[in-house]
Amino acid sequence: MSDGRETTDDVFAESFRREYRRTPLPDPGAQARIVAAVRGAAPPSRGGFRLAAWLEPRTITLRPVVVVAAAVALIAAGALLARIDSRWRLAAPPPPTMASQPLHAVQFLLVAPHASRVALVGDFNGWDAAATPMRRGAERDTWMVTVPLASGWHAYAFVLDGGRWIQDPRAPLAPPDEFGGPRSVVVVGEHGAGV
Amino acid sequence: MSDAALVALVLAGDLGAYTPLVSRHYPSCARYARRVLGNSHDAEDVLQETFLLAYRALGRYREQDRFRAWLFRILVNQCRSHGRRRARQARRLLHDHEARDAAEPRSPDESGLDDALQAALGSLDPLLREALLLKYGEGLAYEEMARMTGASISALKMRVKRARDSIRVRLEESTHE
Repeated sequence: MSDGRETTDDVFAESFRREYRRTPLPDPGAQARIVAAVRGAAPPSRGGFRLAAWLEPRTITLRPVVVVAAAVALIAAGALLARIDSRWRLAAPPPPTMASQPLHAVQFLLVAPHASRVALVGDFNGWDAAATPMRRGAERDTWMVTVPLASGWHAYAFVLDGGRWIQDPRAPLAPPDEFGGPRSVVVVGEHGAGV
Repeated sequence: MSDAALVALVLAGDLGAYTPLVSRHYPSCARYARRVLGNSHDAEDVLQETFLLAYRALGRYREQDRFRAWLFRILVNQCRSHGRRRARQARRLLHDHEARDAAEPRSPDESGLDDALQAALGSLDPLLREALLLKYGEGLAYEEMARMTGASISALKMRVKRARDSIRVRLEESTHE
C-alpha cells in the first residue's frame, strides 16, 4: 500500500520536475544586465554589510532631551524600537555600502529568556538569519541589536535558535501578505511612527 | 572550480570571479523566480536584487554552507518581499477606483508562460506554491527549506503534500488532453 503511494508520488515528482525544467528563462539579456549591475556595485568585503561594526561598543553623543523623548515614546507606544534621529552622532561613519543614504540607528529588543541565540531578520538584510545576530543584554532574558536603517517602512522578525521565526510581540504587525508568516513593522525617520 | 573557491577569489579581490557564479546559478534561480512570481518582468527584478544582495553580502558566506542554498535563501525572501510590495500596490489600487478602472489587466506573462504547470501553480496558495517549487522543482532538502523559510520541517512537509494533492489531478488531466 505504502509502496504504491510512494510510486505514485515518485511519478508525480518526476513529471513535475520535468515540466519545471522546461521553464523558459527570462529575456536572454537579463543575465548580462545582472553581471553589469554587479560590476557597477561596490566590491564586497569580508564583513558583508559590516553590520557587525554597529554591534561594537562605541561612544555616542546624545542630547538629554532626546533620551527623555525616546523613553516617553517607548513607554507610550509599548514598542521595542528606539528611534534615534540624525542628531545622534555616531563615533564612526556608516558602512560604505550604505553611506549614500541617511541612516538611523534603530535598536531592536526582545525578551526571550529561554532562547540560546536570537537573530534579527528583515527586508534590510535579505531575511538572512545569519546576518544580524542579537546579543544578550545585562538582564539575561533580553536580547538586543542596533542596526542602521534608511528612512521608511521596514518589515522584520526574530529568529530563535536558528529556526523559529516570531513576530515582535510589542510592535505593530506588518500588513498580511500573500506569504503570511510572522512579520512586524517599523517606520524609521521622517515618516514617523506607525504602520 | 567550486562555488566556495569562486567566492574566495571574489573576496580576495578578483571581482570577475562572481560572473561564473551568476552563470552557474542563474538558470535555477530564474526558473524558480519565474514560476513563483508568474511574471518575467517581476522575476528579472528579483533576480537582479538577489544577485546584487548576495554579492554585497558575500563576506558572510561560510564555506560550510552550500552556496546554492545560501543564494536561494536570499532569493526566496526577495520573492516574498516582492510579493508583499505587489500586494501593497494592489491594495492601493483597490482604494482608487479611477486607478483601478484605468489599470490594465495584468498579463500572466508576456513571454507566454501560460502552460499547464503555471496554471496549476497559480491555483495554489503562495506558501504551498513556494514549498512545492523548492521541493520538487529545485530538489532541496526539507532542512534547507526550513532554514530558508523559517517554517518547521513538519509544516513544510504538510505544505508540499497539500500542494501536491491539490495540483496532481489537474496536471494529470492536462497531460492526457
